[in-house]
Amino acid sequence: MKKQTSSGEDRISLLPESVLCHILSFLTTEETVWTSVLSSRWRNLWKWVPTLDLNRFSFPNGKASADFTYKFLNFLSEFKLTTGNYVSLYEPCLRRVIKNKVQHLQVDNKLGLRNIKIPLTSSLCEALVSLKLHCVKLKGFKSLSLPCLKTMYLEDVIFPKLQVMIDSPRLEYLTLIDYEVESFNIKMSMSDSIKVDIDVDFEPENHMTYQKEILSIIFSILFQPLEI
Amino acid sequence: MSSNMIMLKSSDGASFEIEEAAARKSKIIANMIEVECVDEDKAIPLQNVTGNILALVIEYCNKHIVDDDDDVATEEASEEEEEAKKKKVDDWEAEFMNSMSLETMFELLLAANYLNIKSLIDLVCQTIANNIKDKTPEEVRKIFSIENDFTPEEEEEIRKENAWAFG
Repeated sequence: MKKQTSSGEDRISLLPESVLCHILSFLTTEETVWTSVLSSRWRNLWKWVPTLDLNRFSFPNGKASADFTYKFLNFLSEFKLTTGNYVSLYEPCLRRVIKNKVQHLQVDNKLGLRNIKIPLTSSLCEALVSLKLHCVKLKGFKSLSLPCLKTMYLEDVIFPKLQVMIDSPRLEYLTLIDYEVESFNIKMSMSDSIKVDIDVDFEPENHMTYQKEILSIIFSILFQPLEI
Repeated sequence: MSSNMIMLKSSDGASFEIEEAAARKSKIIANMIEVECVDEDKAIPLQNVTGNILALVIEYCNKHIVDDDDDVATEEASEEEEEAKKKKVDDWEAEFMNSMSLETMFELLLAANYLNIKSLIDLVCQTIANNIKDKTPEEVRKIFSIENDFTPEEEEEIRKENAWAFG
């Protein structure tokens, strides 16, 4: 590395804690945790970083990963979980971050079994600004209020069977990707300037019904000035 | 350009003229303008920022105000054009950060923090974080001249606490 501090002075450790935490927020949680070994100044800094970017595959097993997650999720503004576990180990963690008003939630299931349940319930999602889900299942709900949500990215997500309402008046970006849609029965509100990207395919037996639902969403969007 | 000019004065007495639109990148200065604390004839004194660092801050702000204008003017720009523009800014930022030593980076970060310029804080923090990524703790200590004040036993204990992260 060519850029060593020339004076040999430890300038970085003199930065204010808030600034150091901001630097750490650009690292994965694994990387921030090992900075604890640098020096006593760094010992506990990582615990104050408001983002958690966890890869289950860094841990020896799913339980260790879920335990760690549960322990350190107090006041997160951003929670990103990459996992491949098909047990619902993370459900308590997810309930807790959502309850603690997380703003950015991303869950990426690498195993492709769509069996992590995301416990989104109406009264609890008031702070959510971005929601990105890959290969998960939305737990049943009738209506969901997401007053601050701007970005929603749903790839291979199982929706509840019964009709649901999603109220997201500030939604600006909606991405929907799924090649095996089983059920799609959603009515949603969104902002006037929404940008939508939909790429879906249907299970043959459901073809007509759900295609109609999706088309009706696209149709309702088209009456607003937008870019698709 | 017909926009207002503002004078800034560094801690070591150097004066800089900057467009109001560029200066507004700093929330502190923007607030001063809002409450009409800015006297057109007088320079705003910035006690925590030296001249060489303020010059870098101004270079950054000038670069980014032009880009913001472009966005407004070409609302119908194609995705490709937008991407090309974004790449141009990214390249400029990479070059800008690459041209300075770590010490300058820390001073720039403190100045950006003091002036409250969010995008510049993020840029510098990201660059510093990139110097930590994919390294061993020993390498990071060396890069930043961090003195390891743990005893070997203490260090061993910390590593054990979260052994998963040291894999």
